[in-house]
Amino acid sequence: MRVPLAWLLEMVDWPGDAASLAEALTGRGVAVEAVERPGAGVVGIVAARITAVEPIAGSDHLKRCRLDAGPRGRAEVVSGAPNLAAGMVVPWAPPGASLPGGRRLEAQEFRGARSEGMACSADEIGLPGEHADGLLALPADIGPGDDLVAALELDDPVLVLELTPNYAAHCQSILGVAREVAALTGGALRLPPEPSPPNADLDATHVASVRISAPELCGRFVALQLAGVGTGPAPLRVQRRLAASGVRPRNAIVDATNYVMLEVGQPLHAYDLRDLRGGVIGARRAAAGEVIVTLDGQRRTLRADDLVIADGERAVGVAGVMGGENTEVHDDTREVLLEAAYFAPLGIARTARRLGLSTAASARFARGVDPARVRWAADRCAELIARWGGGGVSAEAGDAVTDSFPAAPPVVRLRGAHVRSLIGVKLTAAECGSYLTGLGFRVSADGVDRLRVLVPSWRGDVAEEIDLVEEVARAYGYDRIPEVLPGGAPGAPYRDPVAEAGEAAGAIARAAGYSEAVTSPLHAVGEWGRLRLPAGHDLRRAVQIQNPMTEDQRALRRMLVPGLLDALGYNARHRRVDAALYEVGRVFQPSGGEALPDEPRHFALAAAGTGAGYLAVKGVVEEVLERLGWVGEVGWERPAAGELPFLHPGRSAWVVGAGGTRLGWIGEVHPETAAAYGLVGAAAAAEVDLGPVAAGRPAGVRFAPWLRSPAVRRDLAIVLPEDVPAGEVAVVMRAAGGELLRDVRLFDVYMGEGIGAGRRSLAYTLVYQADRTLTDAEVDAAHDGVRRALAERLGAQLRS
Amino acid sequence: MDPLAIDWAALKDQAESELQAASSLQGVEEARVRWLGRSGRIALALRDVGRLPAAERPAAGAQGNEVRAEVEALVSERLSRLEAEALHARLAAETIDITLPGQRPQVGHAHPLHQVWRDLVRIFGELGFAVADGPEVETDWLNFGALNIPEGHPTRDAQDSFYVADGQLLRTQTSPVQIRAMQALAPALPVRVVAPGRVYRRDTTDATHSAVFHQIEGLLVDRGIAMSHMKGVIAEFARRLYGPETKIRVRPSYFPFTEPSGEVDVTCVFCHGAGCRICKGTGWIEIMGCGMVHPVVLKNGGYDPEEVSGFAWGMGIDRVAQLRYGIDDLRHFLQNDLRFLEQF
Repeated sequence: MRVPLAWLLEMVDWPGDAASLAEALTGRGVAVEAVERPGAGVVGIVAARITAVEPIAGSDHLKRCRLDAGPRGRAEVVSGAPNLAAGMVVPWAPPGASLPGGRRLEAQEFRGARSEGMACSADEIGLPGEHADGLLALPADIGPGDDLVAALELDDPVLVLELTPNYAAHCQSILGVAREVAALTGGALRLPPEPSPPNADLDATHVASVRISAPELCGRFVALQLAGVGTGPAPLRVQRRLAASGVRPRNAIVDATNYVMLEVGQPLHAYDLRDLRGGVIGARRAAAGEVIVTLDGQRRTLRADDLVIADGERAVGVAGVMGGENTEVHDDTREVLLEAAYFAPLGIARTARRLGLSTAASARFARGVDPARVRWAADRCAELIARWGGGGVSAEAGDAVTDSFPAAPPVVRLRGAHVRSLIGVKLTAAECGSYLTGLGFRVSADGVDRLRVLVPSWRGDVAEEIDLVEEVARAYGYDRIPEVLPGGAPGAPYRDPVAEAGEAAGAIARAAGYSEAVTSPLHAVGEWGRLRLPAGHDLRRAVQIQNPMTEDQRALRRMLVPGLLDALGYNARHRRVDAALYEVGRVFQPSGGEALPDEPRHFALAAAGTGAGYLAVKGVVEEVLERLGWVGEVGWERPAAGELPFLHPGRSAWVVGAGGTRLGWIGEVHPETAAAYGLVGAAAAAEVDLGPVAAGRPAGVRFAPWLRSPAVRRDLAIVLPEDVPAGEVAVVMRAAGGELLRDVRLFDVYMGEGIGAGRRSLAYTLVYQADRTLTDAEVDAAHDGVRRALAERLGAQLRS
Repeated sequence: MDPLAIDWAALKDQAESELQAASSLQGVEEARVRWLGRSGRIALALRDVGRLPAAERPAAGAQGNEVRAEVEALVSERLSRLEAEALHARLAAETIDITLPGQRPQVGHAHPLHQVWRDLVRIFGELGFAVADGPEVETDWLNFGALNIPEGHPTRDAQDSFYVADGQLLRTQTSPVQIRAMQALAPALPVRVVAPGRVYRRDTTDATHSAVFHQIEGLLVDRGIAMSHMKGVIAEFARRLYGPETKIRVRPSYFPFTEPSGEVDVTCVFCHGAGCRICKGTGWIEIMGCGMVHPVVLKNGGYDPEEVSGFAWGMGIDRVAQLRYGIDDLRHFLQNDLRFLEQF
C-alpha cells in the first residue's frame, strides 16, 4: 500500500513531517517500509499561457513562445514541443526553478533566441504522461501564475506500507490509514463527502439485472448503470495521486474506480455496457475448465471453486481479481455498468493464489472489505465519473445481498484486569475505553472494570477479547511497556543424551581434522543410483516429498554420508581434493503406517584424498565410541554381499555393539560410488546411529587407577594364514594371557618375501603387569601360555 | 725458611692461574687431575706433611686441606662458568627466524550455524530455558491448526510447504514444538523451553531464500506472564548476545499463534544505532518475532488461558549467523565449501 501524504492529510492532520509520521505509524503496527519522494527537488513551477508562437530563424523545429504567467509576469521561452499553440496553458519552469531530481533552470540562448527557463511536458514535472506528447496542456481550472507544485502535489512524499494480514483489511485505504493517524493524534477525521444516490431512472435499453447464483461466495453485488459519460480525463491532481499510489492513470472511468478503491478500500469494476449480453450480470461459480481472457491479455483456465462475474452468456471477469478483456472500458465508452461487491475473502485469496494473480482488488477482497462502504463506494464512483468525465446520469441496475454478507459488527466484552495482566501495565477500564474509542470502537461501561465494545464495520479482524487487548496494547504503545524479568520457578530439567553424544562425537571429529558440515536433508532419487542401491534395497525406502519444486527435493535422506560425499565432490571440483567432513543430523525412516516417520540422529564422517582409508575412519569411530563409554565392547562384522553396496566389499564393516546391536558402519567408498560423486582418489566414510550409541553406553567412563609396579614388555611375531583376522588373534592372546596380560599392541603387519604366499606376519608387543612386581618366571609362564595358545588354536608359526 | 716447609700459598696461586688459563671443559679437567688427582700436586704436598717435625704437622695438614678445598671450589666454579658459556653459545647458535610459519595441526572447524546455535541455546539456558525438541516431519495439525493458523492462510498453501503424506509435512517453523512442549508438561508450570531446529519452506533457493533453514523458538508459560516479561526476557537475551549496551524495540506485528504480537528490533550491532549500510540507516536491525501466546494455542497445549498466560518468540539462526559473520549469501550455509567452513 502506497499512501501519498497530501491525500492522507486531506482526511486528517499530522503535526510533523513524513518521517515522523512513518515512525509513529510503524510504532502502532502500521509498518512504513519507506518514505519515497518521487518529486523531490521540484521547486517553482508555475502555470503560464502561451500568447504567441513564433519561428526562430535557422531552425525547423525550435519556436519562440511568449508566455503570460499572470501575476508572475511575462517571459519568452524556446521550445521544440510538437503541440505548441497560442492559448495553451502550460507548466513553466522559470530561471531559478528546478525540476524533480533537482535540475535547476537558468536563462539560456538558442540560436540567438533567449529562453527564460523552459515550458514543460508532463513527465518533466513528475506527472504521468509521455514526453513525446509535447507540452502538458493544463486544464481550465488552472490559471496563469498558479503554483503547480502545490496545486498538483508535485513534491508530495509517499509512505510505502508493509501491512501485516490483520491490518491489511482496514489499512489498505487512505481512509483506513487516516483513522490510525487520528487515533495517534486524537485529531478529527475529515471523511470523504457523502455521495448522492443515483440521479436517474433506468434507461429502457441495456438493462442489466443482478443475479447471484453462488451466495456463499458473493455477499453483495451492487450494479449501477451510467449513461452519457463524457470524454474528459481525470483531474491532473487525481492522476498524480494515482501514479504516486502505483496505479497508472487511464481515463476518467477507470481512474474513478481506482481512486475510490484507494480512498476507502472498496474495489470497483466498470464494464462497457455495449459488450454485456443477456440483460443480466452477477456472480456464479466458474465451470470447471472455463476459460477467460483477463484484462492483462492472459488466458485463465478456471475451476469450479473460482467465482466469476458473468453476463447472460459468458464470464466477464474473475470475481474480485481481474476483469475480462471482453467487456473492457475504452476511451470511447459512453455507457458503463459499475460493479461494487462483497466477496467471501477466502475464495478470492484461493483464486488469486492459484492463478498467481495478486491484484490491488484481490489484495483487498481477500482481507475482507468494509461492508458498510460497498454501496457507498458505488455511489461515490458514479459521482466522480460524472464529475470528471463530464455529464452522465446514473441509475441503479440492482443491489443484491446474500447470507454471506457480514451481519452487524460484533459486540465484544473487555475486562480491565485481563488487559492489565497481559500487558503488564496498570490501565483502568476507562483508559482502555478511551484508546478503543480513538480507534473507532464504540465503548460503554459493563459493570466494574468491564467494557462493552462495539466493533466498527471496517474492523473485521476484531472478534474476541484478545483482539481488543492487542488494540489497547498498540494504542498504549509497545515502547512504553516496561522490561521486567519474570520470577517463578525454573523450567523442567533437561537432558538429551543423544544430543550430548553428538556434541562429543563432533568434538573428537574436529580434533581429528574433520570440519562440521550441514547438508540438506532433501535429495534427488538419483542419489540411489550413485549409491549403487538396487531396486528394493531397504535404503531406498525413504520419505518422499509429494510436491517438490526441483528434482533434488524428491526424498528425505536415510543416511548422512551421501550429503557429505556430495560436499566432498563439490570441494574436489574446487581443487580441494584432500578434505574431511562430519555431520550430526537427523535422518528419516518411514514408519510404514500413518504415524510420523522415525527421525534418528546420526553421526557421520567422510574423508577423501591423502590418508583417507578404512583404518583412518575406523580410528576416529573407535575414539568416539570409547569416549562415549564403549570400551572394548565394539565388534566389526563384514557386511553380507549387497548390504552396503556403496562401500568397498573388502574394506567395510558393520559396527556392532554389545548384544549384537548394529551401531553403524564404516568403510572405504566403492570406486563407482566415489566416481559418481566426483571423487577420483580414495574416499572413506562412517555413519553411526547416536540413539543406540547413547542409550547402550555399557559402562560409561570410569576412572581406572594405574599400577605402580613395573610393566614387563615382551615382543612376539607370528606367521598365520592371511585370512585369520587380527581381531581373532588378539582374542586368543588375551584369553591365554589372563589377568597378567594388560595390553596387546600390534606394531607390524608384513606380507611378502620369506613368509610364503597367502600368509602374513604379525608383530606384537605384549605388556604384563600386576599389582605387585612380577618375577621373570611368572612372566615367562604367562608368555609361554600365549605362544602355546597361538600355535595350538590358530596354527600360528612363531618367529620369535 | 725451613727447607721442608711447604708453601701452600704458592701452590694455591699456581693452581688458580692454571685453572683460569684453562679455556675448555677438557682443560679444566686436566688441571683438576693435575692438582686434585690421587697423585696430584696437592696430594703429593700433603704426603710431604708427614716429613715435617711433629709439632708442625697439624698446622701444615690443616692448611693443606684448606688449600685443597679452595682449589676444589675453584675447579667447580670454573666448570660452571665454562658450562654456562657453552650453553649460552649453543643457545645463540640455535637462534631461528621466529617469523617462520607455525606447523599447524590439522584441526576441523565447527559450522558457523552450529556455533550460533550453541550460543543461542547457552544464552537461553542461562535465562532458565531448557531445550525442547520436535520432529521435522510434522502433522498438519501441529504445524498449523493447533497454532491457530486458519484455513486459507497463505503459509498453509501447498505452494509454501512440502507435503510428504496427507496431513504430514516438513515443518515450516519450529512453532509446533510449542504445542508439543506444553502437551508434554501440562498441567505442570512453568513451561520454559527453547526449540532450535531445521525448518523447510517451498522456496526457490537464492542468495536470500533457502528451502532449508534454521530457527529457534522460545516459550514461557506460567501464571501472570505479561508483555512486560516478554520485553524483559528478550532485552536480556539481546544484551547477552550483542553486548550490554544493546537496546530493543518492539513493534506491533501479526502472527496467528500470538496476540498481541510484535517484531523485535535491536540497536544495530555494527553502528550501535548511528545508522549504517547494514541497518539501512535506521540504526535498528530486525531480529525476531514475538507475542503473547494466543488463547487458542494455550488451550491446544492443554492449559486454561483464563489461568495462565505466556509469551513466545522465534528467530532465524541463519540470520543471526549472517549478521554475526557478515555472510551475504544464504547458500554458503549448505554448500560446505571448505574455503567457507575453515573461516570459522
